[in-house]
Amino acid sequence: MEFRLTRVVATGVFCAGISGTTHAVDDAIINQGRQTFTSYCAPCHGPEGAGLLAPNLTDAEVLHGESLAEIIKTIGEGVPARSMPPWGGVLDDATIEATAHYVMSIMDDNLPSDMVATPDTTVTPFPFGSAEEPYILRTFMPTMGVSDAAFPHHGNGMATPKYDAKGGTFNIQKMQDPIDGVPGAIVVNFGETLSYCFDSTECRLLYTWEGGFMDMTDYWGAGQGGQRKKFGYVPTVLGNLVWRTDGPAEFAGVPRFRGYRKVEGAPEFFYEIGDQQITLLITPADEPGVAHCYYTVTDASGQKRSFSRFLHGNIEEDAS
Amino acid sequence: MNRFLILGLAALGSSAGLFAESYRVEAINMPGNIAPEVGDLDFTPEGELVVSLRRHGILMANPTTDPTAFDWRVFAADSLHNPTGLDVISGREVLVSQMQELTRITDNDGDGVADLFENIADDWGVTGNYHETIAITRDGGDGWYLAIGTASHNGPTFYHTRGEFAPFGRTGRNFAAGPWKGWVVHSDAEGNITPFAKGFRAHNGIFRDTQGRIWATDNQGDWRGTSPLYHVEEGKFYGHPSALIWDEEFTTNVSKDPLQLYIDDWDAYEAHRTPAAVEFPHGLMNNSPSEPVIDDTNGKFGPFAGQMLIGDIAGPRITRVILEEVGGEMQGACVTFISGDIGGGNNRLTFSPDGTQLYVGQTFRGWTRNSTDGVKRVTFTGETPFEVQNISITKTGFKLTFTKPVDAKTLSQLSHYKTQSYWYKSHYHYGSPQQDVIALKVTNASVSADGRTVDLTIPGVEAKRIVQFDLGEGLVATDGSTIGNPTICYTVRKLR
Repeated sequence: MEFRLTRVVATGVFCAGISGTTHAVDDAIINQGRQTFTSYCAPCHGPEGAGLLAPNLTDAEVLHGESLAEIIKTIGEGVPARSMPPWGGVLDDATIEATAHYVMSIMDDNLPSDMVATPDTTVTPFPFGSAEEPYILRTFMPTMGVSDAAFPHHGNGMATPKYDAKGGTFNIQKMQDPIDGVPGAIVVNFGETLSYCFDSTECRLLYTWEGGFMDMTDYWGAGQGGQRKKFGYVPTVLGNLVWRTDGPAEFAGVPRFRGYRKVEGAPEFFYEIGDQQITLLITPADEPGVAHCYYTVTDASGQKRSFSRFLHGNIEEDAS
Repeated sequence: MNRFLILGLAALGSSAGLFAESYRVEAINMPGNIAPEVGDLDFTPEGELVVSLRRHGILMANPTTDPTAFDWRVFAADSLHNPTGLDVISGREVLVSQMQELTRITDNDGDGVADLFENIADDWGVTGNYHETIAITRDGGDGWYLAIGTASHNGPTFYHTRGEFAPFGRTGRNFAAGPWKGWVVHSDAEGNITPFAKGFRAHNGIFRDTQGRIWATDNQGDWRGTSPLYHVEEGKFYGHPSALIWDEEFTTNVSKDPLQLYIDDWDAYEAHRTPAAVEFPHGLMNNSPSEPVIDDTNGKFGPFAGQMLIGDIAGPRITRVILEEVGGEMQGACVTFISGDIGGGNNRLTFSPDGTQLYVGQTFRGWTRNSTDGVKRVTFTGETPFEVQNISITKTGFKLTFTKPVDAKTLSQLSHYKTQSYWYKSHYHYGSPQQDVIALKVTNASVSADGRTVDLTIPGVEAKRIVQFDLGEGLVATDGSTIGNPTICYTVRKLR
């Protein structure tokens, strides 16, 4: 089979060269770091740190700095552009430091690498696309602060009595709130330049971002066959939000999503809103993070019009 | 795996290994860069294997004799939302049930890669809960039946739900806060949805047989004393009350809070529900039954033609089901088909076009850690296993037929048939212990002339109970093989 090397995923962590560096630290800390590494780092870097989908950490040279401080920084802040997540929100400072010590302890071991040649992968929870071959993913998504006014055709989830597994029934004294999420999202990634979230229920572009793409750990679990860790299945957006919609939709009427066709790898959505038939193709503009939206709108009389606009900041700018 | 070794022919010396295995299990290679959590699998009319993946899209490959030599092609790299139902039309067109829609995926330009994703049907709710998976089967025409699962209390619902949110449907362990959760619905070719049957929990497997009967498995839990197989008939209620929140007639005329009603009034609940055709004793037979298939291979896959096979997500086994109609109702027995090497995670089954192999789609996903993922295939080697081939309830007990002859003296020995009876309670608590276990006594064993059938007289067999047979080790076929899977459980809905 042939898999094209189009998705860039989970590369580049810390391949700092510290050849000859003495690294004296308590074995207990190293062991603690090893355990954390096994749980969080091994799915990408391999069980021995020799590389799998992310680089070999046992090399004599590494990418993002060989000092303890640099490694701690890399673990804590991640490398979103290379799909390494920031673990600072997941692991506490002491755990990150112990992990950094463990990483330093295996540097320069020069183990043979098991790194998979292709970065085109869903084995890790960090899928990625490119401008040439966008990656399309249907999943739950966070609303990223899009206001309630943008979801008029959704149902209204509400707090309900919490289920008591021990008693086998629900407890009306304890209520369980809904959580934030978009149930019918379609997300598309063009690499670092642009990602967006389209809602197939409202038939509406919700938001765009640039930088990294997604951490699917909450939905897919960490690594192959991983069990999810959290109550919700809403993945995490990596990168910087560039634009998001707000308020009532531009087109009035009941939305009806019909599907999408591929145009040079990107989805062109087609849907109906009221008696209007609409297509929407979204591509990256020249400026990172800016979406170029191409619309066609055909009304009930068969009159068709086409237009496009750029989305950046909070601006929707009609293209000439 | 079924391995049948001669253990009793001492006069001939060591005989281990005289019998070859009857079914060989092989792991199929999958692309190393894709997490192979199989949602469903099937074959194209041309014989290409199609696999939908939870963490990817759709792969296709022409099977090879060498299980490690499959040359996979990516038909669709777009990651689908839990694509647990497949209807394969051709190598250029497949339908997939995702969490939020039934999607037709087409390769229009013939380059081998899908370029059109059409929403065929989506008129059901999506609440934001991971558990609301959808399995499909064709309706015999150009439509489908969809099994739409309930949500789990282990996950949330969203503030913004697709479809109406029903607060009285949200309570309980597994719940139906969105439309048609816990139902089997029908979709016509245009995507028009009509409700068909209700009261399911996690019916992760639906199948229409050649007689047009619809079958659905379900999973042990709340309102499921143990995992069942249902013969699904239009309009009937199959016992999970949460789904009734979407039955307008029920909420109008009976109760706006079906769950609480049936927590409070178990007798009314029992009077309402349609029981299972077959129940799988938990821990013994199948802990998480998935997709049923009928062995329609006319013997190419061994001696169980016409019987049903069902995977187990939570255990390393595939279960065989033997069905019959009694008193106008379908009922029957379950027995292990293969176990061990197959591993767990057995989510979907399909026969190869030539009928000699069973392909098994496996997934890690679910509530158990005892699973594997990827694709395996089971091949009948031609070596007939020694098993209970058939079982049928009679007016006086049960008739058992074996795959191989047994000498009359052995077959008539009553001590070979340890028999007990019990039932499982369907209630709001999770699962059920075996209730009211009683030993049954076999008082006579009448053997057929060919030595393959024994007619057992068993007083005290009652309806609404399971009869479990544990066949003795001494029950040896005339060729010396011992019984492969000695425990068989028959669900008695009706007496003869």
